[in-house]
Formats: sequence, C-alpha cells, structure tokens
Amino acid sequence: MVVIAGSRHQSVSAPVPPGLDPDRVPQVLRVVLVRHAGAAPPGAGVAADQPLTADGMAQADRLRWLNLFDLATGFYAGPEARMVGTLAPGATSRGREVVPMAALAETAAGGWLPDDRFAEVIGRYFAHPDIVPAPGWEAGSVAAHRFGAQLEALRASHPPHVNRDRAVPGVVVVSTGGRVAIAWLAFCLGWSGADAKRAWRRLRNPDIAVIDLPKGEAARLVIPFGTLET
Amino acid sequence: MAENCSPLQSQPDAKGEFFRLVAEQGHYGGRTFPTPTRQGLYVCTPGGTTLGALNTRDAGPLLEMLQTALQRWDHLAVHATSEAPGGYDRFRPDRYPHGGLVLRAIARDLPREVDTRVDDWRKIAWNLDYAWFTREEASSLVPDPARPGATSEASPELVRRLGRFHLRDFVRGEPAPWPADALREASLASVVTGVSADRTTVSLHGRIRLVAEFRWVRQGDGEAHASPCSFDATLSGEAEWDRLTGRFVRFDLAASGPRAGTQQYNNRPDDLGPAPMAVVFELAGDTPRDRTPPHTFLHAQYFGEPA
Repeated sequence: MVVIAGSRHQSVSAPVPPGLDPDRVPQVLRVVLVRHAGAAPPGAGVAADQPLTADGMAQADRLRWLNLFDLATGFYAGPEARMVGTLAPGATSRGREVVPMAALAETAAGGWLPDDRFAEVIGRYFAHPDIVPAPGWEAGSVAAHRFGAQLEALRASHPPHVNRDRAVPGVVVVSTGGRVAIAWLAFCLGWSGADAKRAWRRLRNPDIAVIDLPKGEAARLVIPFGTLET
Repeated sequence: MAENCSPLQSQPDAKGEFFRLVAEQGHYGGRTFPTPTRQGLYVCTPGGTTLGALNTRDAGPLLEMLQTALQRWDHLAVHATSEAPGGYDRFRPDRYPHGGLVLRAIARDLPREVDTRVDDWRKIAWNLDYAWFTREEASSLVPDPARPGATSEASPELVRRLGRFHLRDFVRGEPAPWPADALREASLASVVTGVSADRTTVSLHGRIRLVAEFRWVRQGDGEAHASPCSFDATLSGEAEWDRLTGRFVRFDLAASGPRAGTQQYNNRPDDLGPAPMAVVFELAGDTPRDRTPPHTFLHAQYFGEPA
C-alpha cells in the first residue's frame, strides 16, 4: 500500500477493486531519471568516482522536497558515490533506501581525457553508438542496452498503483550519469547522434527527466531534461 | 486559481503545457486508465515545480497537503524562477461575454420528507458553476417599453443554454450537458414590477423540463450502463436592469424541482430519486475567479453554434 498525501493506492497484486478489470490496467513503468548532482570534476590522476561536493549535497537535499518523488516505490542509482548521494535525501525522507546497481552506472570510460580529446570521443560515442569510441570506453548502444534492461527488470517489482477506480503507473527514481542517460533516451526515442549530443551538452547537475515505459510499446518522454527547476 | 482540466490536458498552447508539466508531477501523473484525467488540487512554483497535489473533497487531507507544500516552498522557492511570464498565444478565443450577463450558479439538494442519503459529504454536497449570456440575450428579459405589467419572453437561445447546460445535476459531480432533444418544455418570462428613473425591476418565472436517458460504458471494466434522467424545474426570481448601462445590476433566479437518475461522473448511483434539487443563479463579479468559464462552455453547442 502506498499512501499519497491522503489517497491510498493499492498494488495491482492486491484484491481487485470492484468495477475495475485488472486485465485492462496498462502496465506502465514511470522512470524519474535524475542526472547526478554536482561532484568534483574529473582530472588527471583523480579517481573517476568522486563524491558530491558541498554544493552537490545542497542540490541533492533540495531534490527531496519534490512532489515528483512522492509516488516512487523504489530509488535506484548507479554504484558511484555521486549517483547514490544524489537520491539519498529524497529516499531517506520517504523511509526508503537507495539501491545501487552496477547496470545503472555511468558509461565506462578508459580514464580521464583532456578536453579536446574528450570532445572528440564523446562526439563519436553519440554519433556512432554501435562502436567503441575510444579504448576502455563502452559503446553507446551497449550502455543503453544494459541500462534499459535493468529498468525493464524493475518493472515487475513496481506494478501500477491501483485503487478502487483508477490506475497510475508504478514509479521508480533512478540516478545515473549524463552519458548513459542520454544514450538510453536516444535509443528509446529514436534521437539522432546530433540530437543526443545536443541534449547531453545541455544537461545540468542535477537534472531530471520523466519517461513512461508502457510494456510492449514505445517509450514516452513526459518531462524532458532541463525543464524542472533543480 | 480554478481551471477546467479537461481541455488543458491536451490544449496545444503555453497554458496547456504548463498545466501538464505541473500535473505530471502530481497524483495522477502518467494516468491513462480508466481515463486520463488530471483533476485535482495542485500547488506549484511559478516555474512549474509541483509542491503538492491531491484529488479530494475532504478538508483534512487537503490541509495536510497544503502544509506539506508550504514546507516545500520554503526549501525550493529560493530556487524558483523569478522570470516574468512570457506572452500567451491563446489556443482558444476569449468567449467571456463582456458587457453581457455572467451568473454564478449554485446547485444543491433540497430537504426531503424521507431522506435515504448516506450520512456523509453526499448529504451536504453543493457545487458551483458559471453561466454566460450575451448582452443581447440578457436584454431579451427586459420588456420594452418598461412599464409596470409589461411582459417579455426570454430569447430561445437563453432558455436553451440555461436548460441544456446549466440545469444539470452537478450537486455531486460533473454531468454531461443535456442532449438537444431533452428539452421537453422550456420557458422563461419576465414581468415589470417596478420602474424608477434609471432602473427596471422584473419578476422572472418559467419552467424547464428535461428528460433523457444517459448511457455510458464504464472504462474500468467495460460494463455498459444506462440511466433515465430528468429535471422538472420551476423557475422563479427577480432582477433589476440598469437602463443607462444596459446591464443587470441584480439577478436572482432559482430553478427547483424533482430530479432523477445518474450519469457517469455525477456520483448519483445511490440516489436515483426523484428527489428535490435546486440550481440558483446570481450575478457574478468580475474578479479573475468570477471569470472562470462555465464547465461546459467548450461544448460545440454551448453558444448555439452547429455541432
């Protein structure tokens, strides 16, 4: 049972409410996709997994006040400290924990690159998602696939919320890095490489998008990155 | 701010987009079943971050939601946009009847000799709506010349709109407009009862009788439903017309009588009647709240245009 500010929603697995045929309930998973809050920048000799900065922690704390998180029955993140830290205040304040998952990690990269070299590699990453853009990197399509497969696996644990006469999607909040987030969105929504790169360049820390995943149907982008005040 | 969410759920302009942004962060975000409605109460920042959302008739949960939203505002407002709103290229024309007759409509049940209603909100329910009439339609209720005893019949368009779109049983919810052939009897007349230097007072009386069977399929389980509905309303009231401005300065009209039946969204399945109901009309102000459009004004025939 999920309590939403006075309205009680039952899991679809609970006894069927009168007047509602469970076979008609659309099986939709809503993903609140969060690009992580501010973390220490990468650099030569700096470990890739940097925690949130003080500003980043303040940003993460603000996220917890979003109504958008109220319907979530799960908070998931890549295993990196900045991903988990971004959702921790929002999850904890709702009596939940952030579950780190390797499949939700940022796209693997083979170590730090200087700016001009990084720009070249990231361009290839989005323009040619089926190839490995640089040694040690993960191809965009590979990253998008393992990320999407993990979200699909979450569907069973987060069925639609159903009460006596209505149903709303199951909701999960997922924090990850910008590269994999955009690669996955580009795959789901059919973006071109140029569109994906443009979307990645516009990302903020943190940033939020909302995507609905109807089972067996195309994904729907409900709220794009860059829309909500974060 | 009060808005009719139905058109905003798909309205292709900035207003619709803003509503959808707010609603998708709320209690019905992503809802498609059994309907895609986003009705409810929302609190948001000017930039569209939702701070609280709920669909309830109960004061307790609403108060709780408002307090939560206020707490959230304290934490998020510092980050909220301070930009002035941009221009608004409205999708639909402004149909507010400037210079015409704008009425506030209030519907409620009347006392019953034998009351079998459930003893909860349904027993004390009442609801608000607005009714819009043009200046020309309004003036049809004023006899010319204005002398005591002179009479006038309201324009057919005024009576038609009043009956089909405003004598609905909206005490508990949202009924559809009556179909055109539901109007079995429709009259509203005025009699001059007083004349002063600038003003004409008229009494109003008439009868509007509506009968129709409403049918719907419950989307939750595909079950078909039908209900014979009726409202036999006796109209009675008084109004005062300012001859200098050509506007009513007072307008009080009651439509009361037995109603029967239920519709899909008016919460009457447990109270099919016949039972007494009244819809009363009074002049609305012109504050933004009082410019709320009538609930059914987007219906193709509200203003009498062809379907």
